[in-house]
Amino acid sequence: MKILVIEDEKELSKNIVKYLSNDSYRCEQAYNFSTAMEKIALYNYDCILLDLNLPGGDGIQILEEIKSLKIDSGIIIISARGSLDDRIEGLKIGADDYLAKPFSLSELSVRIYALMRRRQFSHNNIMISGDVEIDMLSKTVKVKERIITLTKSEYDLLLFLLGNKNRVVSKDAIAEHLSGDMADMLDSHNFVYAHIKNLKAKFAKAGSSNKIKTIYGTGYQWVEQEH
Amino acid sequence: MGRTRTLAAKSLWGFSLSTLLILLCCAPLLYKLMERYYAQDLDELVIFRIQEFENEQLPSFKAADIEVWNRFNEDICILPFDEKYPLLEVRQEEFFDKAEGHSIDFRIVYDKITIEGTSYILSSRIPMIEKHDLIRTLTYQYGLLFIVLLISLSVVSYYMSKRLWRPFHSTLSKIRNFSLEKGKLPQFNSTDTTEFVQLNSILNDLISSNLSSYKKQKEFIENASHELQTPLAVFKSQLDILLQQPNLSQEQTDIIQSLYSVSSRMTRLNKNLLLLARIDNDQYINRVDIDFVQTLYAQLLYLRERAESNGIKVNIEIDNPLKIQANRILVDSLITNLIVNAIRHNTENGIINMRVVDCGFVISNTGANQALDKDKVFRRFNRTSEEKKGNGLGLSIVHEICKMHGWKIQYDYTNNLHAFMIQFTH
Repeated sequence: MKILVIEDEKELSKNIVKYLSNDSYRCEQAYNFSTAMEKIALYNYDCILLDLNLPGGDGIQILEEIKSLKIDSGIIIISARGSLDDRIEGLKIGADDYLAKPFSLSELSVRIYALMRRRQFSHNNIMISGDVEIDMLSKTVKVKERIITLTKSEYDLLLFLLGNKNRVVSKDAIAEHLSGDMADMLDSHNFVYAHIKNLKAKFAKAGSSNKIKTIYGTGYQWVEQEH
Repeated sequence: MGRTRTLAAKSLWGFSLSTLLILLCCAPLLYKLMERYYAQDLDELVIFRIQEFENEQLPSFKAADIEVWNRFNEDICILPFDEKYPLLEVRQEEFFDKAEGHSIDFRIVYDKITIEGTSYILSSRIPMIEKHDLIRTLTYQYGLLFIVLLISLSVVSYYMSKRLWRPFHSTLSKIRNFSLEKGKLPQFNSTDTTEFVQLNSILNDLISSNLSSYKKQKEFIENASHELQTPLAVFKSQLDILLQQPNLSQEQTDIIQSLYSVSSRMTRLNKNLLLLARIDNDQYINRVDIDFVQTLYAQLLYLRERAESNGIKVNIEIDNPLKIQANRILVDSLITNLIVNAIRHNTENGIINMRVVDCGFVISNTGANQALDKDKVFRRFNRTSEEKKGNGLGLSIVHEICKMHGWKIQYDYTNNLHAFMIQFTH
């Protein structure tokens, strides 16, 4: 799957590419307006990550160009302009998602994953990792063909971990994903720990061989077991 | 500053005082003038009487008539001739006056006449007005003049100053209603008074330069917050990459966690500054009808779980439905900030009570056993405790949001509960 990262901040662009290339993604980078326009015209991408403030032009123009060329790529805006108005404006012009800076790479990865799934596998709503099977339509989780019951938060947490499988996601990223923008204002340690503990217990009880690895309470990792 | 008086009162006071002084200074002059013209009048009369006597009486006058004449005419007398009398020259001399009972000044003239061959002196005199009578008359006139002047001056100066100063007062009331935050340049009424034209134009320049620097400063905060987002994003992404390193030690992970905390504090601080700047910049002016209770429950969806995971009990009491006219983003921010504040400053096994009443919302929580300083609680960067991580902007955001919507917010500490009460007004 091909992704174009249009971001002028080279360090950020580099980190995005590094984080995403663990998956089956092939990333290309554009640091400025003209390179971005060129690449869009020349190649096809499944997903385009678009920063709005670029040297040499406004990212909104790139978005309009993509739309006028009828290019069928998924578009996620990554922008420092985080207000709701900017968000609505971006989505109105045709972006599929909007992520305000600063964001965690895990969140970005999950958003790309969700977008790709919506676009390419819309007929297939089953997600499988090891012996765990998730039906996204009915929101049911099966371990070894047996349904286990999860709370909404646990279900969201599981999807978040699976969207970043084999990578470590930070406690803060989980908290923000589960309780939104205000997560950082409260100590998230107990909150995340409790959910992880419950999720682990439910999988252990169902006899799953998948495991959630804890990195000293700071990060969590979904380790996929091969069949 | 001591007691102040209006310009009109001051100028009236000055006018009155100078009028009084001028009148007093002129008094001796006026007195002398009146005395002189009065004497001149009398002089003509005494001379006329002598001429009349000489023309009409003298041709047929006999020496034997003198005694009778003198007995009946006090003011025109025929005296024996003497060289000492100056002839045909009006003078002022003092004589005893029987009617008054003391001596008074007379205008008098002498002439030499001849009756039956003998020389006599004819004298004609008229009493002058008495000095104190003259002074009294003058005083009455002065008093009357002064009163009339005073009244007319007050009336004239009252209406004149009212008319003259009208543009000034209009300018004054416009400046009084001016506020830098509203950012609107006052429109001064045009006037044809040079001084006021100058005043208005100087004020105009002053205010517009202030407005523009205020605007620049506000924009600066917003731009600075925007610019900080990108380095923060780089910082956060570096941590995400770092966390992927295999075999991290406990010590390394602790450092990463602490950096995550720092990064999220910076992010929050930046977001709050941006929100405050945007409220200041009037970017949240559009208002819609909002179901407050519904919004409260929507925000509680996440926050109740967070409170309970910290062992805090949340009680909600809804007395009545509540609809408000407000900006949606700001109402969301108001509710979350209040609830987060109540969670963060709570105690172990504490409680949070929320209540929607009439046209108000009350949120109270257990916490430190001491009331907060009412004057400082909403101030920016006023932190009550060191150990609670916060940026000291949450409650000032709440305060700004209330202020912008014209709602009243109050802090109170009763029954060991810290309470914030909002009174929504329509």
